[in-house]
Amino acid sequence: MKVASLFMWWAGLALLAGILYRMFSVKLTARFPLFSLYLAVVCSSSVVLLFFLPANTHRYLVAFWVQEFVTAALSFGMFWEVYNEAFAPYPGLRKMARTVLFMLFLAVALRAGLSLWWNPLRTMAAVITEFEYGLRTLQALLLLALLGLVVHYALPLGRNARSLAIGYGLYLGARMVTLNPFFQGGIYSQVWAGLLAQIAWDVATVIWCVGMWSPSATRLPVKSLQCDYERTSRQTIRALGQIRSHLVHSWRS
Amino acid sequence: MNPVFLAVLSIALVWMLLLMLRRGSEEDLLRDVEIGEGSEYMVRLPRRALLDQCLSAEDLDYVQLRNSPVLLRLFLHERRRLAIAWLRQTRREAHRLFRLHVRSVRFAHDLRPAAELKLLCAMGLFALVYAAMLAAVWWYGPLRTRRSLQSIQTLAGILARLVDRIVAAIVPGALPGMPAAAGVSR
Repeated sequence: MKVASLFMWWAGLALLAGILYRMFSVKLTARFPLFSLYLAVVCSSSVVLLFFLPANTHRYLVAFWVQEFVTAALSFGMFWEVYNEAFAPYPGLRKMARTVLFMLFLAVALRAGLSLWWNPLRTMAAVITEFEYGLRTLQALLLLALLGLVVHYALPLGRNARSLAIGYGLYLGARMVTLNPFFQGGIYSQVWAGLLAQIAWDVATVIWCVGMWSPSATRLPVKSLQCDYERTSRQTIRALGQIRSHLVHSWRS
Repeated sequence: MNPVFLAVLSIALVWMLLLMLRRGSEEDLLRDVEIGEGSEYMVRLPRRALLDQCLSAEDLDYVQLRNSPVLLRLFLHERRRLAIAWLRQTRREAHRLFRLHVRSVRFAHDLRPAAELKLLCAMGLFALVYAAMLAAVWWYGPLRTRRSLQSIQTLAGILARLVDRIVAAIVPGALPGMPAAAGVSR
């Protein structure tokens, strides 16, 4: 198990370095600066952590959690990249996405604040677990809202941005699963949780590697229809009402 | 932390990613453009005469006269299939209009979340009514569903008339204290 985990860790690191090199050589670092920064920080901090080994010392733990917090904060940059790529040609949707994401952020922050107010955390371990849980929940909700809008309005998303969202989405999903109390129960299940997270991270890096291999053309909308929003909205609501009424009243003899 | 919430969130995330992959293909985009160009906001509903024909009492009488349970079963099965096809056609039309709206308004500068939410609610209401109708037709068959709906409508009519009569009986001066109780000061 330990050998497999170590192999995964090194493979992930090698893939990260490979992505960074490839992105730099095809000039994708300029198009996705925050994602590049995130990868660079994850890659370099993983190497720096090696100097703090062995893993059961206090200084390693401190270094590990500092790295976790910094990379977690930087990972929000990825949402900005997806948001930028997907919503750039749609000013109205851009504004709406901002509103939705801000309200979501506010709701999660409010809930976390209230929860902390009623149940103050006592131990460092509880603080860290709660923090990671809150962070991952917020990220998952933001990604869900962002992808929901992309899917609902059928926004064209280039290969690069798509791979970014899919890779991080899969990793986030796996991380949420490993945060489940089932995996937090004992030492044995925690080892499995660590391995699962590592596998998910490696899969994400493979997806990024494939997606970021070459720059994809920005998928702009095929044609820009300008419409009277008020009128279109009214018409659709009226039409849906008409269909609903037809659906029920047609059954009368 | 709630494990159910975590599981739901993870599944929703994976599902959304799959949806994005499925809908992000080039073919889908091309199909969308065709929808936008070829059709307008004209509602093209399946004809009511088709459903009337499907629910025809004469046909049922005729089959019952043959006195063959196999034939009757086949007839009911076919009529159920036709009724469900009619319902599905209605749903397809609603979806077409909804998709058309979504593809058109995404370029709008003045997109409003409240209006979009209202539309989503209208679509949700339609989906609810559609699901109820589909379930009723699936379980009871189209003929019994029609009879049930007629009974419900008759009952609703009776209740409406009864309420009208009650209101007409109590309104003229029966409750003199009402305006004051409602907080109206003169």
